[in-house]
Amino acid sequence: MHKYVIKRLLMLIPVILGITFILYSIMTLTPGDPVRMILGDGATDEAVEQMREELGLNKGFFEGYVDYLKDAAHGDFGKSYRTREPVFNEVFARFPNTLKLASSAIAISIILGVLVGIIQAVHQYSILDNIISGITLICTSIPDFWFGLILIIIFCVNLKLLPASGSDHWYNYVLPAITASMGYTAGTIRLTRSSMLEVIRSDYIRTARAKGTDERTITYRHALKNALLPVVTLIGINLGWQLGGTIIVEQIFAIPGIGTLMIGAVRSKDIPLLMASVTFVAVLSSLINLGTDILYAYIDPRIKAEYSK
Amino acid sequence: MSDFNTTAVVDAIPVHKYKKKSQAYVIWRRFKRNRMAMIGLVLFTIMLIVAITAPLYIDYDKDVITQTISMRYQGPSLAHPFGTDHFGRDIMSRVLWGARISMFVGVGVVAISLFIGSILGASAGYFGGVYDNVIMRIMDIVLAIPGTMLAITIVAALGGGIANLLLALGIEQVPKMTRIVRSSVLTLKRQDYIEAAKACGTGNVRIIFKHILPNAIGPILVQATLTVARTIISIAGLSFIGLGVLPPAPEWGAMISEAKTQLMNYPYLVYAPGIAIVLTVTSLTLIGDGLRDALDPKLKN
Amino acid sequence: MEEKLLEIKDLCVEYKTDEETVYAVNNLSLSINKGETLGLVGETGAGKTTTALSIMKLLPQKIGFIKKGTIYMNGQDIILKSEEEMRKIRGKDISMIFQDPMTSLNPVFTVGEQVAEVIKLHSEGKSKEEIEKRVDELFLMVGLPAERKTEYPHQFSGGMKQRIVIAMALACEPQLLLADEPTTALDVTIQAQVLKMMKDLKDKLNTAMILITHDLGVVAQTCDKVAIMYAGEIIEHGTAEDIFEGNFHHPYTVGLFGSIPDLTTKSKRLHPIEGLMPDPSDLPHGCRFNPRCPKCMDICTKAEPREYISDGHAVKCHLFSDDSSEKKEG
Repeated sequence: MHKYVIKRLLMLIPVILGITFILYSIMTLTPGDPVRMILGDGATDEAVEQMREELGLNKGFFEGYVDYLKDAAHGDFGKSYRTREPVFNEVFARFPNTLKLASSAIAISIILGVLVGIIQAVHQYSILDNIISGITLICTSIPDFWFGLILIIIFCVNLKLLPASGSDHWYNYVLPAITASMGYTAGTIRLTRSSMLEVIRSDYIRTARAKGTDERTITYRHALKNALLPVVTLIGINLGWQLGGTIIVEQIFAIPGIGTLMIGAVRSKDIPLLMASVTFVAVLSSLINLGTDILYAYIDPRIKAEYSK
Repeated sequence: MSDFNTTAVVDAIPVHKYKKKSQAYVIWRRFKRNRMAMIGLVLFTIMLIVAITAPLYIDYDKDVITQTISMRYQGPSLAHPFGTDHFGRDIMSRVLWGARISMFVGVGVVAISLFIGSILGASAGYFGGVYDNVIMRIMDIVLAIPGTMLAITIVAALGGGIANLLLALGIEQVPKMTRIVRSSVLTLKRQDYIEAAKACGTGNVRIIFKHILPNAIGPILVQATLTVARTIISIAGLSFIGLGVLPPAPEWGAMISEAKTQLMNYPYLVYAPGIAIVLTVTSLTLIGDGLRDALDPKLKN
Repeated sequence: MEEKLLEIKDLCVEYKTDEETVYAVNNLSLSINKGETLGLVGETGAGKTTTALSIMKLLPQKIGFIKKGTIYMNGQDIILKSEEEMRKIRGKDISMIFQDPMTSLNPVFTVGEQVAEVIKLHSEGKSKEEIEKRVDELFLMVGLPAERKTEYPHQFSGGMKQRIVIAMALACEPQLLLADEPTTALDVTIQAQVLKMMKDLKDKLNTAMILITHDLGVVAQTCDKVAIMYAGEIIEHGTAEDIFEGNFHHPYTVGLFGSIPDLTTKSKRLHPIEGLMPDPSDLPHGCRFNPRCPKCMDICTKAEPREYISDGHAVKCHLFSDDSSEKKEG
């Protein structure tokens, strides 16, 4: 088990190298000069040259990348071109907002998704099952930004119950969390339902019935633990995606999270800030996936045996 | 008990007279029985016809992009069933024209990612070894970057517009397509008829394109349909934050974005383009799910 | 006097799907005495498993229905029992062993937990220690070391898993054991071991057993009585001697034996039964076997034959309608 975890952690190193390289290439090889963007069109050539020097932009493509890696190895991920603050100061300042949003959205999707999914599976083919199937299908097809706007129209414009923007109070997160969770909740419901139905049809559930076990125990003890395996994976992937995927929701509700930070960095060609924010999210979601896989081992003894090899 | 020295297994294949039917026909018959999938197909066909024939009854210059400030913010009426926007343009014409953009980009993205993904995935799965490892590790790295972030970075770096959007979303989808094609190829590679083709001295490229890919078409088709659906949402999302299709083109997400500023006063502006997205994506999802069930009836109850 | 344990009369079971109705079991009657072993033989799709599932009342929900008939267990009709009453019977009075041991055990619980569950369900008031002690006993009984009860199913081989399933089925010393092809999924050598063990245990516990199989060799080794099933009906039944050595048989039974390779007589080739099982959603008129029967007569396509019984050996075939030997209606 330890060996497996260490191996997975080591595999993160090439991933980090790869991500930074891809982003560095995209940002430096495409048109647009960050210095001109910062100083504006009226800047003198000397001023521009001086700033290039300061920011280390006068180096060649590979030299620049290698220098970046060298500094990064010493814990220096560079300073934002615009604020001149170490990039991770900004990332860490923004991250709690994104985390609040992503984790509350995931919490909603887990609780609602698993519960509704089980109810649907237990009442397969009933009217309830069909109605929920229809709703989840449409929910997976609604773009989150549009859904967010509709929620704003209902709750902020018409009912005047909740604020449309801000990030200081818990109620600021109600609409964003619902918006961000909608698609994931629908996905979790669909997967829980189909996974439960598959498990309920399996031979070992028939064995349990043949033992005289009651339906309740069969559903919640024998079937659920097996049916949750794929759901756990999905939740792990969702959480990883959420951290990087709340960008648009952050935009609608004006939440200063990693997403807004990243969009700002992209627009102003703030290379170190962009690399830091994207890499941070990517590594974090890889770690979450690793966590999911470890959790998996605790639910399914077969997987645990495989990891221990 | 005298004569039974040996154990016999008396077993026969159950029933059915085997009529000769092509695989595609069988799948189509199963698909046809699926009511939801057929609803999706009909809905999508209507949308597709609307998208293709839009130029016949809508004049792009006159109806879609010409600004008539005197006509702005007209509520829904007979002349303008969905009303007019902040430039006085007819929302219905724009929404119908928007179908062209969304479907074109959606299908284009899938075509690009499928083309690159098939080459990478098929070769990786077929040749295996170090080559396979290198390709798949690169794909893992690309996959590790959250999709929206990657697309935003590329579009932001290259600038907006349909071509760059195609490229950005295409790259985002390549790893998934590569994985699907590769796993199909891996299972097919071990089949006897591939061994037989090899034994006949058939070349690698020919085996991949003639024998393997056509047989892997099922899961690829399902994935492609669902990817078009997801991509239509992504295009709208990028356009919504101002990084996708450039104005004045009537892209659905861009229209919602423009409507956003007038949410308090003219909320009706956001309804039509949003519903258009939901209908298109739902129809594609229904088709994709139906295809999957038709291809693998075991999955359905 | 032998005591009747289970008696099924005129059982009809249908499976209904959107597209068709499958007539899986048609007017089936059979009975079994305490401690007896009945072999239920037939091709795949003959309705053997459906019969067993009907006795357990475990037919697939919303698809499988008992249309007609009675199933008396110790004089009480099971069909009239509520689901709750059935739960008390399942695993206690009647147990079932399924075909594939690889998938019969829940992968996320230890095998000990799974055996303990059945004891817990049917013996109220037993302490934890008593239950664990009983699990240990059962493991020893089926030839497994008791300390392996803390392991998970994936750590056992197919034969060992089937032993665990058997331990589970016998845990409450049921009066009737339904064994649905218990050895088909196992290697031939393991098959013999498991079969012998089952026979010994059932003799020890005086359990009656319905052994479902398509393997006539297995039947010859273990069964007191044999019933041959075809297209949802029992077309011949009698003692094992009647079936294996009797001098009159249903043409289908003759066909079954003809498809067994025989080492004692020299024969150039096997004689498989021509044709396939009829589509159970569209059964032939008259005798179900008529399209494949080498001795098919006019009447066979028109009227369903009745059972002709001689000394408890019953055959359902028109061939014997002129037979002068004593015959009674079944």
